[in-house]
Amino acid sequence: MLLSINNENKQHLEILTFQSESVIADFCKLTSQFLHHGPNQKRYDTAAQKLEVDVHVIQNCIYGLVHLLMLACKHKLSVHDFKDSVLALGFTNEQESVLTHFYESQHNELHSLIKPNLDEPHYYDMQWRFEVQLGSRSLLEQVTPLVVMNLSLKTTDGKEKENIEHHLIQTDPTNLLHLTNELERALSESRSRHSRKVENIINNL
Amino acid sequence: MMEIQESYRDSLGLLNNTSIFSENLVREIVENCCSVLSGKTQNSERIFLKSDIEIQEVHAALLYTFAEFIRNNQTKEDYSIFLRNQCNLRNDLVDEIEHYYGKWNGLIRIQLLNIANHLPHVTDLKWKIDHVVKSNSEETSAGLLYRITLNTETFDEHLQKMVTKALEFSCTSEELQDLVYKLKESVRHLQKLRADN
Repeated sequence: MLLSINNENKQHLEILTFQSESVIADFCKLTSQFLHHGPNQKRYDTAAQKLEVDVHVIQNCIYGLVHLLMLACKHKLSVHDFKDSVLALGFTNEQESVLTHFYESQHNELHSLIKPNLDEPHYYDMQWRFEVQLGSRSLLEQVTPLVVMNLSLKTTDGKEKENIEHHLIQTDPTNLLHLTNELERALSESRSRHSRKVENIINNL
Repeated sequence: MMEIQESYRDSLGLLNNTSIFSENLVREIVENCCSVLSGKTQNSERIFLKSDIEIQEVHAALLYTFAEFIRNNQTKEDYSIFLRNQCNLRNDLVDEIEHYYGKWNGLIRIQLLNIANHLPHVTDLKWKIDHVVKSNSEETSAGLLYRITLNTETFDEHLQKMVTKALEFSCTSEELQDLVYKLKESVRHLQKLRADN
């Protein structure tokens, strides 16, 4: 897969195609600093003086690199695809290897930056076991049917690590039937005319 | 026949004293005992503010014997035989208390049953359907997202009372289908067991 980059960003990156590998490596360092600590105006001024360009060109070039990396991470681009995308932008093989190395080194960090922050527990699995409670200290000689469930929910922490939480819950046959019917109703509601109509409108937006 | 300590039998025998225990007072005490045991109310202050030690004695004995008879799965006839033969209560009193025993037996059983239940018990659920339109992440695919809230009841050891807790999670259509399939499987199993017996 090749990245589709708009013309504005292509123009921002164009200046790099005329630079040596060591200069590109310096830009990679500046980009890394930008990602960790934000913009560093002093260094941008120095770079602008060295390359004899306006400081905005340097700034836009850093933004262009950040955009390129973010886009590549968002689309989970493999190293091979990233190489092809960079070459398609007019970089030489030597320049490309510097950028690809930078992409590999920053990949994990960038990935955690663009992870969704809506980390709500998500259904993962459910296991059930049917039991009959025969007695307890407070009530002897009973026959109480119970369904014990192990509900596994998946959560993701800030470091993109997935955790599986196990919730042991139980219910009685009457409530089990009620739960099943209600969830079936939820499923059938999503297939209702109203839901499909709204879904079609959203899809056509 | 169940063995109940003599002190409790003697305490219940005090109910025969009509100068202290009027018909209304007996009804009030028995009703309060049933209500307390079923977890609906606390001990009645009106009863405890009464200065007569006999009233509090009878109240405690009724609480104990009701809980003990229901705990041992005894019928209201068993309880009335105990009141008549071992506590020597008058027939009208026996009939009155037996009536309350039969009426509240089920609710008190449920309360006793819940004492040993440590796992959160699912009693209800809420659901809503959302349609994800756009997200900043490619990992969240657009489409339907179900948000489920399971209402559970559990006994809080710290607070010493039943508390309601919500267990919330989201799932896609496929995942909800998987969950419903598993729940239906357990329902089918239960229904088969019921049919076999």
